[in-house]
Amino acid sequence: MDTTTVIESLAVEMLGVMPERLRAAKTLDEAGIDSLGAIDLVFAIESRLGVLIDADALGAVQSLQDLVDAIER
Amino acid sequence: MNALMARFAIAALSATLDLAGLVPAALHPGKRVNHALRDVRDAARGRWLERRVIESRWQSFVLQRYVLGLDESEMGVFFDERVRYEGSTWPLDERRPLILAAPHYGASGVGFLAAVHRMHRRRPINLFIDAGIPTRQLTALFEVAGLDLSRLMSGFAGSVEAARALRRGECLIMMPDVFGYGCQTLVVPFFGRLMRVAAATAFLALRTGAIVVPVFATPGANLTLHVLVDTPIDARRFAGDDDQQKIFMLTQALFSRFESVFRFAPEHWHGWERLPGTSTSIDPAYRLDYDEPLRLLRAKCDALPHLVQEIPELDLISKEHVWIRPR
Repeated sequence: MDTTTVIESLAVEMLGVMPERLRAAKTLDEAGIDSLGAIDLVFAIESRLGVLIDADALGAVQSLQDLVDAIER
Repeated sequence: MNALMARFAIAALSATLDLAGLVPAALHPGKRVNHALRDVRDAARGRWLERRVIESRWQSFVLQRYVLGLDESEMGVFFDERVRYEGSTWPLDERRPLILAAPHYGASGVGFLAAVHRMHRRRPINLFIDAGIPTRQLTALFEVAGLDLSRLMSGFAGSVEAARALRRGECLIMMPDVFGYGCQTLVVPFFGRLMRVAAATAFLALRTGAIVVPVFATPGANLTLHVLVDTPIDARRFAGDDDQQKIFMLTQALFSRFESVFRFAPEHWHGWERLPGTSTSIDPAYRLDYDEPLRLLRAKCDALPHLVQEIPELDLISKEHVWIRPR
């Protein structure tokens, strides 16, 4: 399962945000993920993928693709 | 010499306070506070408040300057001899993650330092305050004390780092009543109004099982400091599935502590001037009847007979007037 799919499935499980909406939105906020929800999502991703995301890389995260880039960096 | 100069400054201030009535509101924080509170029904107002506000701010400023002028060993003596601690200090010795949550109240910077001093430097300290809020003085205080203070910027990355620090059992310093644009907020009851406050304190506590310890630091005469370490709020107490509700309840519990301390000594809070802009009145939209207070007095008299025994006039006043104009 690739990173994007993991994020999308976690967004549905935890926050009830549908993948189509997440992909279409320019920002996480536009997709209905507020800043606290995004933090929960990061920890869930770390737990699922067994990675530690660099916090500096998260500073620039706006969209789903930014989040994927931050994880894969 | 530093102490002597500081005392001289306080004495000079006291002597000029009586002339403070001549100072224009733009230069007088007490007057600005009094003006800001004109429509806040539940808050105290008056000339006495104006005077005490300026006294508190000046004392806090002088105390902070004084502490900044000390070296590391002198600072240790200061905390042992001039700081009076009150309240439950056991949470400071706990191994669980800890959030020191202080409002912008009195000499909060020195108060944080005093609380950390009380912890005997057992754990790393992180400052988590909104990026737009100046923290130069606070970081300078920690530098002088020889303490490492990691500054975490608020926002997405900073919040993740703050949660990680708490999960490592570290301490987070936060000011929940101070936040900038873009911060996630909610409203809680505060002085008869609904006030917008940051949600991060409750969120981080709930996610990490941290203990939230409210800390209040008030300056006193002769360069002394009173630090109240209030009863801790344990995030694990807030059970249930509704996350938003838990964040609200914990935040509300914290601000209810703040309110009870502010009611006792309102002059030390630096947020009064912001209050009308960050809160909404929850008074009823309609005006109360002119005799509504008398109805309430009548109800009190009925409920508390001993009150009427002690002050019989209350009974007479309420009986005489309350039914004159039926609703």
